[in-house]
Amino acid sequence: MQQKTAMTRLALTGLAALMASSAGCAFGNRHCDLKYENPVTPQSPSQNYSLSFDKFDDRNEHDSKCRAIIGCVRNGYGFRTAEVKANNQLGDWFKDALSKELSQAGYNFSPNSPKTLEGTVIHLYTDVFFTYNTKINLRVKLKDKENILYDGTFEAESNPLALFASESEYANSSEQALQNAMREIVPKLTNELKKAK
Amino acid sequence: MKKPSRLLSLALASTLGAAGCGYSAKPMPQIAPSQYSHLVNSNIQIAVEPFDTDKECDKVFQRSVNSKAYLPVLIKIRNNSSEEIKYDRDNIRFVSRTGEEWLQVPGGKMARSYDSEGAVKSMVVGVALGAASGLLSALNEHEVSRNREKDFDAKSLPYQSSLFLGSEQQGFIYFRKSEKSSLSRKDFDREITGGNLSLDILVSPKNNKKFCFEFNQPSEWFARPATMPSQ
Repeated sequence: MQQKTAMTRLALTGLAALMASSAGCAFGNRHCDLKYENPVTPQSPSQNYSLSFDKFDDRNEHDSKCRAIIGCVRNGYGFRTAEVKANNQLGDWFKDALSKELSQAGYNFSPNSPKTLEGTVIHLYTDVFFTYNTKINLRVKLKDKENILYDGTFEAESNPLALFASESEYANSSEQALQNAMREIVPKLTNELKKAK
Repeated sequence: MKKPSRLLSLALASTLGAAGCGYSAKPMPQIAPSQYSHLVNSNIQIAVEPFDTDKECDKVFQRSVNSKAYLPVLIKIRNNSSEEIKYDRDNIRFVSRTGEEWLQVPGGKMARSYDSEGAVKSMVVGVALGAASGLLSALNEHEVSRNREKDFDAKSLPYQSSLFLGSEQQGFIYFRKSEKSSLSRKDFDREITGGNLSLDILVSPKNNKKFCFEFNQPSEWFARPATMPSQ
């Protein structure tokens, strides 16, 4: 009987250790390098149309070192135990993503083009509890010199499984949310660009 | 004898967790037409209602969000003119008496300010009834939190909108004092008294004709009498 109890305790301890190691440490801020490596727009032939980029910024809350706070880490009871911060500027991240997507759609970029794009990451935040829940709100403006041709806001989410609460997982979840937003933004922009031709 | 009692408490906790503690959203408050006191002209109507008391906040958000340094402001814009009008939340600003601009935050962020209460509850359940009950409670609290976020986001004023003849738009903008996680009632009142809410509305957006509104606290928020059509 005692042996059985000891075995049960050992199994439970092992299980707890496994859970602890796989769930990742709930403490310590995460610092993510946000990336955008996988555009979702299908490759299209060149449109012989060039665009330029204007201001890209963000409205997220920032820490004292001007790093955007883009999420949180929670422990098993749901307490927020740490913050997730972005090492790069969210505006630059969004601009890079949009540039990759529109290149795939066949557009060129030239700094002298009168057609300019402006963008704002209104909000990006990843919460976690077994799965990540990333929400992103974006705003895109298409201008021809000073005339606004298009001004729209977009929101998207992603919910990948949370395994290690690691920086790369937060970065991946943010990338997925941005990809989901791009599935709406790029068709909308290409449509507006066709009208403006 | 020990096992049945544990099972009983687990069943009790899970029943309580699953059935008793869901989130039920409160209805969106309405501003009556008689409260359209802030008129630009007879055709464009703006109503502003700051939720700056505990009683008002409780009715809609079920908490005193003012104590967490949030000021929800309900805004209703109605266009009775034949011209298109356009608003943009970038052009709606709240500046406190001290000259500090409060940030606009998403509803989800304000909702998350309640999270720690749910986590404390789960921990208490976990300590009293065991880890499994604590986990069930945490799952339930997480679901409550998600629903609260959705509700607060749904009550937000859309970021921008064009309004045509006879149309209106209504919703909250959640302002937050920067880098403050709590404010006493006294400090909160002191911050917003004499504060200023300004809105720019574009009329016939292509002409870029702008109307500016300013609302001042305290008592009744009133629009500055003159509105300024400008280029």
